[in-house]
Amino acid sequence: MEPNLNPQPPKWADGFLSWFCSEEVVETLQGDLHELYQKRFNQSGKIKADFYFIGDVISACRPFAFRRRRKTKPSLFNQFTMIRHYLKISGRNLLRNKGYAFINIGGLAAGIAVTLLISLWIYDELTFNHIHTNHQYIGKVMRDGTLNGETYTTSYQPYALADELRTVYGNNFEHVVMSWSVSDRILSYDDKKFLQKGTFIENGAPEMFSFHMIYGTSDGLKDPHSIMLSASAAKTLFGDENPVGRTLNIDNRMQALVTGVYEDFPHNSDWSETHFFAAWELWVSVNQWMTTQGFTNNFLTIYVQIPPSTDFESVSSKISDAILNNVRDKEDYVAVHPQIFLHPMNKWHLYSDWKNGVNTGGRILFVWLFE
Amino acid sequence: MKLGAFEELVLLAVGALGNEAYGVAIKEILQEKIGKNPSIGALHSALYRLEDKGCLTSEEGGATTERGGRRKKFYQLTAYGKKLLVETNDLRMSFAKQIPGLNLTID
Repeated sequence: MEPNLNPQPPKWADGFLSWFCSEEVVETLQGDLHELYQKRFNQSGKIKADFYFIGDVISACRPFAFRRRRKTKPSLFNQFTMIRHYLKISGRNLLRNKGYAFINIGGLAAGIAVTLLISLWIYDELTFNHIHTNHQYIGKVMRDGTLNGETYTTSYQPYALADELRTVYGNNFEHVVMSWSVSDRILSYDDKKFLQKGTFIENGAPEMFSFHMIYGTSDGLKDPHSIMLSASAAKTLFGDENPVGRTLNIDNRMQALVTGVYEDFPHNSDWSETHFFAAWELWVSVNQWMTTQGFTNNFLTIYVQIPPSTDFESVSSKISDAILNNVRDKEDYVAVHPQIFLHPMNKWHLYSDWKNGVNTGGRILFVWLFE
Repeated sequence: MKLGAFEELVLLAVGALGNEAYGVAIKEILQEKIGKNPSIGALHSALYRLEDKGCLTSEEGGATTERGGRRKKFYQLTAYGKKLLVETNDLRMSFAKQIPGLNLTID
């Protein structure tokens, strides 16, 4: 008889065996049974081999075969064994070398903390003035002039320039507002007097700089005798009541009606320290001399907002001669060659240094230093 | 009693087989010595039990074609297993000495 090289025991018995055996047991037990089966098959033929095989399967129905001992197949839990081991070992090492562990962990913590603080600071610096919705379109009017062969750059502008920008170059701007520099003023109400930083500015400003109004509207500087207070200044002067409609004194020589209260600007805004905005006309009314200064005396700041359809470079190139065109009859002013341009709000804080008519950066240096 | 009679036989068989002690081989040597065919289930059961007791260690061998690619599990006596065998034998001998007319010797 040709020996069958690959005889197979009854499938059902074999299947039953692998069904009731635990995974750990099944391979060796089934292997033994198959080996025995093959031997018996070769010695005594299929029928006897089948018979004994079934008997063996039944004899294997014992607790040892069902019980799950050590699991050989990696379970979800088992895959973490290595990681758990690492954690345990590192934990023990840390406990054994407490001094070094302290230095190591403390150093890492300090490093992470400093990195986080620097990141926060950089973020804060890079988003400076972003609280103002139109920050991309707001600019400050700057002026270059040349004296003794050196070009200087300043933000102080003559009184007549604002009207010139409005009338001659008006279609390049959505807002042109004149403003006095921010300075300490005495605000008094009843017998209360407080020193507050503030400025006088034209009516477009609250809308331009997107004031968040608590009381009143952002149109509050329309009236020549009006003032808008920051929430903190309002609280200082009036407590928790709504101050709109109250009249207060500025420097004891200007009377102004409170027309609105706006939320304080956050620390990373150029207006964060400015606690009141009073009507420009109020300032003009006590400083009538300003209106007669024409293009040759520079003392105020002009803020503009350009439409999104244009950009600062193109507007700057259009308005560059706005002063020069009006002082051509004065030789010394022509020699200074005043050139007007716009400095975008996004750069006020970080790019505020000028050398020989070129922006040389500023605080941005420290941002790059840390980055 | 730390060892059953069948367990003792299995331990002896594993020890006698040396490096070749796996299921079928153990079964065959037992068959040869006792003259009776131990059931494969009882044998495996005893092997696992002895392993749990610490008398045996096991190790998986390579795949073999005659077993359909399944691996053999080779057993080896541990020092504890050997000690148990000696103790069991000592006990048997000390009892046997008390039986008059029974003379057990090892040659």
